[in-house]
Amino acid sequence: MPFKSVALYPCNPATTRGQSTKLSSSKDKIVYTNGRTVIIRDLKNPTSVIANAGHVRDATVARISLTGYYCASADAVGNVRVWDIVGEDQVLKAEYKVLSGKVNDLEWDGESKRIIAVGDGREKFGHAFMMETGSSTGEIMGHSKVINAVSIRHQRPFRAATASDDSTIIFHQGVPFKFDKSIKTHTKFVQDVRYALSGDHFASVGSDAKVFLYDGKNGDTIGEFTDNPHTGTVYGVSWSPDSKSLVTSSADRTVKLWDVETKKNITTYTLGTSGLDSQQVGNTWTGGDDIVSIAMNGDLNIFDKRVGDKPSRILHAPSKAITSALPTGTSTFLTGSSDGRILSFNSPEDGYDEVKGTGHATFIVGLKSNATSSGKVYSTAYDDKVKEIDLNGNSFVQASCPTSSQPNSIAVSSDDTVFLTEANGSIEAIKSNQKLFESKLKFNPTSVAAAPTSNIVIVGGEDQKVRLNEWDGKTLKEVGVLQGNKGTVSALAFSPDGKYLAAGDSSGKILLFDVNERKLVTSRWSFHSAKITSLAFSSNSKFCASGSLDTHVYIWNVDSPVKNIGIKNAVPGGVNEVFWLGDGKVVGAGADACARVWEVSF
Amino acid sequence: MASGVGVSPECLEAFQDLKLGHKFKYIIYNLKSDNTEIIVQKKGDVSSSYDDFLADLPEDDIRWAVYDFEFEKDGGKRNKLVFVSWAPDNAKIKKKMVAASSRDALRRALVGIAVEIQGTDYSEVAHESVYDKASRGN
Repeated sequence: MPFKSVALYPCNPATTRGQSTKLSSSKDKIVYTNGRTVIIRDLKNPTSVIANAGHVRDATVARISLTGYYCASADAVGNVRVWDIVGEDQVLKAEYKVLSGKVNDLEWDGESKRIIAVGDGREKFGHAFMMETGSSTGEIMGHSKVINAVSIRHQRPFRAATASDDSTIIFHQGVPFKFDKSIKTHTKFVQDVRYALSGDHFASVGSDAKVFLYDGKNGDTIGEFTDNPHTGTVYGVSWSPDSKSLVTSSADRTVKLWDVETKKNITTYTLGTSGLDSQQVGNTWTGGDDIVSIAMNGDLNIFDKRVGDKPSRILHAPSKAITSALPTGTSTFLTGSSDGRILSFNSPEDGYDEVKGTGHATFIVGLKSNATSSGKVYSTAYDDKVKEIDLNGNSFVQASCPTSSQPNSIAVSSDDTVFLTEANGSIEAIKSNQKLFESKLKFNPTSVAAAPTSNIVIVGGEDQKVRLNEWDGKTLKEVGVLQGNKGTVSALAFSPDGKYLAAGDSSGKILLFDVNERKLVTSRWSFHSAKITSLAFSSNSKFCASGSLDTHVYIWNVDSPVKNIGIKNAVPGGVNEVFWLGDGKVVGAGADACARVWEVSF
Repeated sequence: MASGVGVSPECLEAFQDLKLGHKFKYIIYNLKSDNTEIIVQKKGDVSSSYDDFLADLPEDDIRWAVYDFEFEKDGGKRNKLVFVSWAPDNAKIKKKMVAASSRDALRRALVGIAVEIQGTDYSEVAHESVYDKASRGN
């Protein structure tokens, strides 16, 4: 095979406002979902990542069995998949449709034989079943609203507790699981319930900001944690591996550690200063004694219980679809995502870092730099602003320039002029945050590219034409038209030597033009079946990578257009950006927020 | 609907030579410039590769072709004759009409074709798509 997958830089969990996000762990591995993808990553070994995109709909929760051999994951339409995580290819063990609605939580029993899945449904909100056969092992009943969480006592006699939006906890005896009693401690939604590994106690947290402790065997309420309590919805609770402490994560932007014996608050970590972004919406305490709490913006805060004031480290990564990306070196790149965040990727070990300063508010449309790489990167987003990023300081430059309407494509010429095409049908040129030029075009422009070596600016439009323009520093003058695309021109790329232009369109065709002679070189690059979203030439101008909504990545050969390498199903959900990292390495990023790296050889 | 376009005798001779004599790897057929007859445009050398064959399919004109497709299946070598009707999206509409209506005249004259491919862009005539079709069945 002429390509092989060499790395996957994982996304962070997807969060939803007002709902707890289920994180789980097995030894040092943490497990979470984002879109259709289930991610298992090792906190101590950042290059060990498993990504499984087996679900047809969005995955909601995943947990590893106590034996560590299987992972069970569930999705938004009630399917539970059990798959092997020891082997290379993640063989599917079983798949069951257990509920008619979204599964909110699932739990393995202590013998790794049974699973209880809970969530939303028409006739029932939970189902207990055997992992091997899918046959029922009891009944989860008594709730009148959607169930948010379930936990099973890992020792015999088995017990299960379920927490629901009807503000009750139901205690089940097992096996087979059957209703024992209803616990009415909380006064609002109960968000999470967890058993201690020892099986002696379980704890629950809810939207009434309260934390309760119960006896593990008979479900009697032992008491409430009232010492320095939370002031907002508590979304997650987890037990320490020795079952002596608890950690809770709350929307009041705090993570609190509790001693179970004395019910005293040991430590309170406060995160961020204001706003939604720092709300803590879920947590897990790993077997390696790391406390992981997830913030609303997707950041994974990792705490050491001995260090009392702030997280020992924060794992940043995109948590929403990557909508644009830009290589900044042979192993570093920037990503912009649909929630408006821009992150810089430093190395496989250190992962992503935040770009500091005031960034964009929403959907990043493009990240571009001048081809000679002056260290300045320009970004634009649906908040109608163009910003400059200083790579050396890894921060946004203070000043920004507004655009006249919503931008849909950005290009930077060799003299650092920024060209933007916009939704109202105009093209703008901006330099040093000053608007130099604006013109309303006769067609709707959808993509723009600037030649790396000359003053040519290319604009692609909805009318399936590619127009050549000359930029004299003040105005754009149309000098030619290249035709042949069969749909809206959606992606344009210049080869680094400035000789070739690749134009991809919404029908999946890519045309290669010779810019100097203004003629078509080939129309043989037609293997994609959906809109081309990104094109990138290798640094020697010999190869072109293309990414498309059809989830595939193709590598084309400029010298012999007949040859190509197809990386099928490269990015689940569609590719938004492809780029080269050094020579011979192609990165694809898109809907599932992960960045995948392939090594290609011709 | 037949267009009334005839098949020149050399088309069949070339096909016989390919099928029985294994003298060529492929044959490219084209319409005569006055659209009255189908003629042989090129006979591909036995040593030529599949990429050579693809290079003979123009980006903006119609062709027909017979390719002696060799592949391995279940550990054994197989040969199948593949008939390709090449009519890319970029070709002139009139050409495409004539191509569609004349195709049958040529196709019926050739006996022993195992696989038929209709190509409108290069992904449909790529080696893997043809292999998929050829290796299906026995």
